[in-house]
Amino acid sequence: MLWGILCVLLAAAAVLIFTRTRLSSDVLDMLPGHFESVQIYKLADREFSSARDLVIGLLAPSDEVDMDGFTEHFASALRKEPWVVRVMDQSPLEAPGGLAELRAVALPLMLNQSDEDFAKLLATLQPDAITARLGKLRAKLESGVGLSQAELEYDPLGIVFPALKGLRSANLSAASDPRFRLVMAHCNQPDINEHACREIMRKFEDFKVRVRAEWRDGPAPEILCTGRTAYVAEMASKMKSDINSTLASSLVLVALTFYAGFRKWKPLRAIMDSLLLCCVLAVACGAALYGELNMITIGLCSILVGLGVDFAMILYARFLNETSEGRTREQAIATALRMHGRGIWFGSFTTAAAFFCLLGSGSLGYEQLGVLIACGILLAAAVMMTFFWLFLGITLPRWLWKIVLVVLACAAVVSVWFIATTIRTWDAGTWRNIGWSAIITFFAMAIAHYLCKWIPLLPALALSRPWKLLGPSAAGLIALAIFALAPVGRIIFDLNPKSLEPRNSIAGHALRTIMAHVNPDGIESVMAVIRAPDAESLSAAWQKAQTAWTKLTPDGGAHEPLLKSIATPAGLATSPARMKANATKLAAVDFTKATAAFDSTLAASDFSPEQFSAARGLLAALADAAQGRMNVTEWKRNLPETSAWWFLIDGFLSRENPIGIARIKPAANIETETQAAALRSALDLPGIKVGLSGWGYTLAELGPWSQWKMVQLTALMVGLNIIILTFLLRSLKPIIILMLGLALAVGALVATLKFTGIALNLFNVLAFPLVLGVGVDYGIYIAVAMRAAEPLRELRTVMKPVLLSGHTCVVGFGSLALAQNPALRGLGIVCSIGIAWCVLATFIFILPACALLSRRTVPHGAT
Amino acid sequence: MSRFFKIRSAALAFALILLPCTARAQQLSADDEKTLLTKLREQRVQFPALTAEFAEERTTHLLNKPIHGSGTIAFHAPGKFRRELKGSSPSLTISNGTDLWIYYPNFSEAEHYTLGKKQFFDDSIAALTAGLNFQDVEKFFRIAPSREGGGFRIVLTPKSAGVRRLLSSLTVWMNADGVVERTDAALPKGDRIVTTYRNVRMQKSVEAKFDFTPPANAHISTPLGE
Repeated sequence: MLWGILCVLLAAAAVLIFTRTRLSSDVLDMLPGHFESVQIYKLADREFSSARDLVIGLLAPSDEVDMDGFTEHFASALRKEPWVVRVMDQSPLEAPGGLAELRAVALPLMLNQSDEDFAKLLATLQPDAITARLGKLRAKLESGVGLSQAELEYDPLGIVFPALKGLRSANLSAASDPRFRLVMAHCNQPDINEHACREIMRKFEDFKVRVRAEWRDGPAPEILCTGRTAYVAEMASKMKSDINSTLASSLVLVALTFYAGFRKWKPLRAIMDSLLLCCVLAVACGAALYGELNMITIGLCSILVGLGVDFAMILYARFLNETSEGRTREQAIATALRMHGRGIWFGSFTTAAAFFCLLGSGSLGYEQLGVLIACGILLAAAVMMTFFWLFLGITLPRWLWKIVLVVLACAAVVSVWFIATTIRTWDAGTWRNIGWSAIITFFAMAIAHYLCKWIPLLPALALSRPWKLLGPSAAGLIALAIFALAPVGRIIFDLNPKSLEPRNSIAGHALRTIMAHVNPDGIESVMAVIRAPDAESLSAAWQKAQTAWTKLTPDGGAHEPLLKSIATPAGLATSPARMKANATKLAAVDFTKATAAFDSTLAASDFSPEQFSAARGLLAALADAAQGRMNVTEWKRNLPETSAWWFLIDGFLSRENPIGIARIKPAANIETETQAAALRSALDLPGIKVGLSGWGYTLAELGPWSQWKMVQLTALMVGLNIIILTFLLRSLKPIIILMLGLALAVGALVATLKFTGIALNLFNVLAFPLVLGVGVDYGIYIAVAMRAAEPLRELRTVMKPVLLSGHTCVVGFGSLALAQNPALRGLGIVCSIGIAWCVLATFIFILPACALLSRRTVPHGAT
Repeated sequence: MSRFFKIRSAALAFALILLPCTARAQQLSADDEKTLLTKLREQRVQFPALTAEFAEERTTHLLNKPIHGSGTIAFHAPGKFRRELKGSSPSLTISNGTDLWIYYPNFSEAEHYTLGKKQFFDDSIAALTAGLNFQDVEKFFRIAPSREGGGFRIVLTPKSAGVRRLLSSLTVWMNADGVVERTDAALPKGDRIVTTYRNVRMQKSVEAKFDFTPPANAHISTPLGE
C-alpha cells in the first residue's frame, strides 16, 4: 500500500513541479511590500522603460585605445542588432537623425514656456529680428572663431536652445575620464521577467564577442554592462546554480556525516531516498501554494535536508539498539516509533512553528521560505516514520547493483572529462568554494567521527557529577552572554545595497565601475515620484516641485543646502492648457513674412539654403501649431522609437500614465532613518503626494524595521516554544532549563557575531527566531530521555543521534554559505553558528542541568 | 545651447589658431622625424615666442562661397597666444593659458572660456597642439611627410575618432628651416581652412599682451558656464 501511495504522491508532485514552478529573481520581492519606497521601486520598474535599458560602460586599460573610435564602432554595430530599439552614445543632437528629431522635442517645449519666455520667442520670430540675428551670426562667422557656426547649424532662429534649457541631460561624450565612455541601449524586451532578461543578456554577450572581433584599430576597451536586465539575468542564473550547489553539497555533507557516525551504507541510502522524497514533496507544495518561487526559497531543499535527517537518525539509532538486543525488525520499528514518535512530532512542530513565524516578516520571499520549510518539516517527520522504513527494507538485487556501479563509473568518467576541459576557466570564486567545501567536509567528518565515540560517555558524567560539567560550561556561556549584552564591540548591521547582490556580481561590479566615473562623488540619488490624475495636474505639480526643491540646492541660494542637485521632469511635463494658450498667441506672428525674411536673409548673406531646411521646417510646424493643428497632449508620439531623445523622456515620464520621476541628489548619502525622514520632510509639498525611493534610501528605512521584526519574531518564537514545551513536558523546571539553555546559546551567537565581525543584513536578522525554533529540538530529546525509566540507558541511546542531528543541521545550513545569493548565504551562516551553539549548550548545559534537576526530584539510587 | 557644441566649437577655434605653431613639429621620415623633433624642441626652448601675419580662406558648408580674412598672430609657449582678425568683421582672440577670450568689437560682445575645466575641451586642444612641445604628435596623428619644392609637405591624419570629429586632416607646408608657410585644414562636413603665413618670426619673447579685460560696455557670455 505504501508503494502505491508513494507512486501517487510522486506523480502528483511531478505534475505540479513541471507545470507550475517558476523562479522569481527580483530582489524587490524580498523586501516588505507595504513600504512606500519598495512600492515606488516596483512602480518605477513597471512605468519607466529604463527597466529595459542596458547601461554599458567602455573602459580603456591604457591610452592606446581609441575610445571615440571604438565607441562609434560599438554604437553603430549595436544599432544594427534586431534586439536593440535605440542607442545613445553621445548627445541626442549628435546621434543619427538627432537634428531632425530635435523639432519634435523642441516644438512642444517652446509652446510650454512661461509667458515671459514665450513673449521672447514671439519677438524672435518677427521678420526684423530674424534678419538681424542671421546678419549678426554671418558677421561672427566671418570672424572665424566662436560659436556662430554651431548656432547657425543647430538653432539659426535662436528659439530652440532657450526652449531646451529646462532639460538636464548627461553629456555622455564629455565624460571626465578620457578612458571611459557610457552607452545606453534600450532593448526590445517583451516583458521584464527573468527569462526575457536572460535572453537579452545572452544576445548581448554574443554581440560583445562579435563587436570586439570586428574592431581592427588597435586594442579594444573592457565592456561593462549593468542595469535591471543584467542584474535579473545574473541573479536568475546564479539562483539555479545555487539550487544545485546547495542541495548537492548538503546531501554530500549530510551523507558523509552520517557515514562517519554510523559506518553503514544501507540506512544512508534509505535516508537519502527519504530526504529526496521530502524535497520533491516540499517543492511540489511550493508550486501548489505559490507557483513562483522566490530567490531565497531555493534554499528550501538544503535546509530541509539538514533538518529532516534528524528524525531519521533518532529513529535509526533506536532501531539499531533494539535489533542489537535481539528484537525483530518489526518490533524494533515499533519500539523506535513508540519511543521517539512523540518527540519527533513535537520537534517538527517547534521547527515548523519557527518557520511559520516568517509569515510575519512582511517579505514575500521569507514568507514563502517559512511556509515551505514548515510544510517540508512536517512532511519529513511523516516520511521518516513511514517511507523511511520502506526504503530501509529494500535490498537491491545483484544485477541492479551492477547497473548502479556502471552508471556511477560513467558519471565519474564524465566528471573527470568535465574537470579536465574546464579547469582552466575556473575563477577564484570557484576555487574558493572548492577549498571551503573541502575544509567543511573534513571537519564535518572529523567531528562526527571523534565526537560519536566520546559523546555517549557524557551522560554518565552528567548524571554522576553534574556540577563538574555544569559549572564551567555555565560560567563560559554566561560570560559570553554578558559580552553579548555589554556595550563592548558591536554587531555590524550592513545596510549597503551591495549586501543585496550576489557574491562577485558581474552586474554589480559594472555598476560600481560605471558610477565611479559618472558619479565621482559617490552620492546616490533618491527617486521622487509624483502621480497625478492628468497631464495638466502633473505639469503643475512638477512646476511646484521644481520651484520648491531648487531652493534647497546651492543654485537656489540655500545657505546650508540639503540637496546637491535636482533633475526633475518639470521641463518635459508639458501643460496642455498652456500649450494651447501659447499656440493661440502664435497667431500674432505672420509666418509667411517670417519665412520670407528668413529666406531672403539667407540669400542676401550667401548662406547655403539647403543647410537651413530644419529651421524652415520648424517655422512651418509653428505655423501649423498656430492653426491648432498640433496634438498638445500626445506630442511625444511624433518621435520615432529609435530616437535617442527617448532616453531623456523615458527617464522622467511614464508613457502610459501621468507619472513623473525626479532624481534628487542629497548633500550626503542617506544612511540612517533620521536622514531619510529629514529628506522626506524637506521634499514634502503641500497638496502633492511625493513618493521617495532609491536603494540607499529604502535600506535606511528598512533597517530599523528589520531589527524590530527580529525582536518581534524572536519574542513570538520564545512564546511558541514555551507553549509547545508546556504541552510536551508539563513541568516548569525543565522548561526553564531548556529556555535558559536557548537564551545562553543565542547570547553566544551574538558574542560570536561581535567577535568575528559577521554582519547582519536585512535578511539574516530573521535567523534568530529560526535558531530558537530549531535549536530547542535537541534539548527536547534530552529532557524526554531524562524522564525515561532508565535515563542513563536512554541518554546513551539518544546522545549520538542528537549529536549527528545537530551536526547535520549545522552542516545543512552551513552549506548555504556556499550560495552566491546574499540572503541565503547570510541566513545559512548565522543559522549554522546559532544552531552549533544550541547543540553545544544542549550537551554542556541542558544535559547536566536536567541531570541535576533529576537528582533533586528523584531520590538518589531510585530508577 | 548644448554644452557639447560649445565645447567643440571653442576647441576647434582654439586649435585652428595654434595650428601654424604645431605644424613645425612634423618630420619627413622615422629617422628624420626624430632628428627634426629634437631640433625643433631645442629651437622652441631657444625661441619660445612667435609672431606672424596670416591670410586665410575658409570654406564652410553653411555658405555658398569661401570667406577671406587676414590678421596677425602672436604665440608664446606653452599656451599664450593672441590672434587679431582685421577687416569688416574684426575679432580678437586671446589666451593667457588659463582664460580664453573672444571679443567682437562690432557687437561689443565677448565670450569667456576657462581652460582646464572641461576634459573633452582640454584633451582636444592637447591633441591638436601636440606639436607645440614636440612630444606627443605621434600619439595623436599619423604623419606622412614628403618633399615639395625647397621645403616639406606633411600630412597629419588624426588617429582617434575624437580628434577626427574636429579635424579630418591637416596638411602643412614648411620651408627648409622648418618654418611654416601654409596650412590646409580639412574639417568634417566638407569645411576647409587654408591659411598662408608670412613674416614669421621666432623670438625669445614677444611684446604682445596675452591678458584681456573686456570694455565696460561689452556683453560677456560664458558658453561653458562659470
